[in-house]
Amino acid sequence: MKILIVDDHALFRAGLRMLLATIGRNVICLESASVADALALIAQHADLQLCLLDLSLKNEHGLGAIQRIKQSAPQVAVIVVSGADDSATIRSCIDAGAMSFIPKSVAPEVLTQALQHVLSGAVYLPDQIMSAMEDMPDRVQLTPRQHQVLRCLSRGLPTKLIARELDLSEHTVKDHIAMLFQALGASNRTEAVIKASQLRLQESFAVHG
Amino acid sequence: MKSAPGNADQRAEPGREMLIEVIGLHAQAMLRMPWVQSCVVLGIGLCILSFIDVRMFVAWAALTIGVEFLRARYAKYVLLRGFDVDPRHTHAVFVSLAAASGASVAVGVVLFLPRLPLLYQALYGVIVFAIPAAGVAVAQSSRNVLAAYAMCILLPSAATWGVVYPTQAIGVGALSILYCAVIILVAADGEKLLLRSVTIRNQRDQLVRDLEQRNADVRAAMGQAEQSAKARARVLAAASHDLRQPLHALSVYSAVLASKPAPDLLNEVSVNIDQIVRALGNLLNGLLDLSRLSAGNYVPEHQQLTMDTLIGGVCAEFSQAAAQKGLVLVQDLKPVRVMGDAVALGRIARNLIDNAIKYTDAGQVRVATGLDDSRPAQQAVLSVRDTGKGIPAAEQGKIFEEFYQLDNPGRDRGKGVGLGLAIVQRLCELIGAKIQVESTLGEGTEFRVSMPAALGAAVASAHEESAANSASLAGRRVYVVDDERDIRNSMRALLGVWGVEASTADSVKDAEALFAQHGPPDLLIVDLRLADEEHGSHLADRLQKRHGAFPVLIITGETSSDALREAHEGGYALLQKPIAAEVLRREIVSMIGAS
Repeated sequence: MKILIVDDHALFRAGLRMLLATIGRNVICLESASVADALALIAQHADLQLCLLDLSLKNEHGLGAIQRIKQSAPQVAVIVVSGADDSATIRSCIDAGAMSFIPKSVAPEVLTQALQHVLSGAVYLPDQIMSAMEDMPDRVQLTPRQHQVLRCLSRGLPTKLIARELDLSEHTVKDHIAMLFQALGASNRTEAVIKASQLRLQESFAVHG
Repeated sequence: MKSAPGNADQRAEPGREMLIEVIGLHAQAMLRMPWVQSCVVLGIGLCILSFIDVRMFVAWAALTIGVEFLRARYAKYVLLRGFDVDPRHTHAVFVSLAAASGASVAVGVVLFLPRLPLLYQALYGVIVFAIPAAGVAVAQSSRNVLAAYAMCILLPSAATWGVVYPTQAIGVGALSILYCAVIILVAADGEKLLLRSVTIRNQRDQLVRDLEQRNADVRAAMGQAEQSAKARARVLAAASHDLRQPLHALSVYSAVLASKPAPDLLNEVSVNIDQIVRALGNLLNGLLDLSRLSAGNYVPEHQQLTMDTLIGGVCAEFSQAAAQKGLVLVQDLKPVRVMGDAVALGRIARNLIDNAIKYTDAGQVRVATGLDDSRPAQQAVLSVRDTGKGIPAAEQGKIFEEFYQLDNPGRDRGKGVGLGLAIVQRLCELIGAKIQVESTLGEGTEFRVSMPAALGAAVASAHEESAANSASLAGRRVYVVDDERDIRNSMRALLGVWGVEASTADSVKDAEALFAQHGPPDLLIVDLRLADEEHGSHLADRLQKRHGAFPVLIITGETSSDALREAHEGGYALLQKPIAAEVLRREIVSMIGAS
């Protein structure tokens, strides 16, 4: 599994690289300190699956970077790893297309857990954003299809790419998404991603990789 | 009518301002005089024209009205010039013109009075003697103008009357002089009144100015307070960002270690952790220095020192760092003696040279000391010049701000923490030095620190500094009292490396036992806060009372100004944790010297 780490603090990048290499199997890490370098690396490596992105980069804010990465490579799942940890920032990152959000301030064991989650293809969000959404139905019964659609949505794939990946028509995908939102009690993608992290969907990327 | 010249010079003495006021008023009145004089001439003409030669009268009328036109013309000139007139000169001209005007009236009396019948003589006399009274209003409180005018009319007129009627000469003469005196007195009263009103106006203006000044002061003070609050907030924000970044990185490495990494990763982990901890330590030390300098705890010493030796020692510390970057560290150290603080000056030089090396990729860093004779008070100058990329003019004002770093928006810790120049500036303020920066983009930067030179500047300098560095501590006995085991262990290990015989104690009881058994040491190192609320300097006091005097070094992790002041009050040397080995060594050597 190929992972790109974007952070302007070289020592932090090195630490993440070592941690990923230790907890993941067959992880190949690419590193960059700026968005421009990141985009170049993404263009070179079509098989890139994950991008761990810092929000406060030299001269640029990561929010714009999420959008630029999603535009040029929608199949890359963006995981924000940031010094910030307020709900507004987390929400706007997911709005911009990020799949998960890991605050740098979490305890070491939580960081390990979160990265394990992310490596397994699940959504990770800090607890505080989930407690902000309490109206979760106790039991959510999703069909296997809905699970697949939710995973694609979480990765920030546009409808067209979901349709291609699941070999469905765009129209059908839209129907699935509507049903999924209803089942989750979500009104948009961001809320659906938050629900997905509450469900702790444990699915491997490898299935789709 | 309030003429502008009154405000000409706000700080003028009342006399001068008074004169300006009088001139202004008088000039205004002068403008109307040709018409007034024409009326007077017309009136006189109606009375006496049938008895005298018309040509003679016309010639006189032309003379006296001409003089008035001259006066009006000059008055207009004065009013136009406004603030530029010299009041004394102008006043003198007005007095002369008043005399001329009075004389021209008197010429008429001399010419016409003897030719008139008695009744008309009397009438003419009344008119002429009334003219000076009208002059009081025109002269506008100037005694001199009025006196010149009145005397030039009355004295020739009275004399003429006396010549025509010799029997009345004495009476008319005496009355004229009395009359003259009375109207001059009246004018003097007016002058006093005017002076008072001018004074009152001055006081009012002064009050208004004071008030404006005070308002401006208050505004400036408020602006300054706001600015310093902003600066504090900026420092805090930058510090918290810069402190969190390494912490986050440490947290990642902690996660790496906890997840049982491959053995070959361990070396890299330890190297990286070491780097982070160093950067963190530098940052904390920088912040600590800044807060110490700002809290006013640092009292600079004022001792004579040889700048060139001190700076030479600092240069030696950096020769390796410069060589590693391929830079030439040029030393041009002319002997200079200054009164100052060796620690502060050394730190200033260290930070400047460190910066110069950091921001120069090729070429040289030139460190120079010398004297600057261009100013009246001879200045000692330390200059650090590099051939780096230079500082844009717009940035030169900001480089002394905390956490400001050129070309380092990403706050890459490899370039330092951005506190060096802020510390330099505070230190310069503390020791009364001035720092200037001169920089040309692409060519390099020069920092110049100048401070008053000590008299008898050039004396070959002793080598106390280098002596301190090579001094041996072997065989000296040092007791370390600290309730933290880690500190005791590391201290003992460090002191052991230097050949010091170190004994440690973790409590007051232990320390007392140590003293009882082995007597007082060459040096006691004691923590400021010991267990059970015990105070390090109190313990030292007690032990000194019982066992005689011995040197004491207090160490503390406290940073609050209160704790530091408390420690200083004991009169003992103080070092703040974390303590770098070389700092500790220097301090110990300076306290107990070489054996």
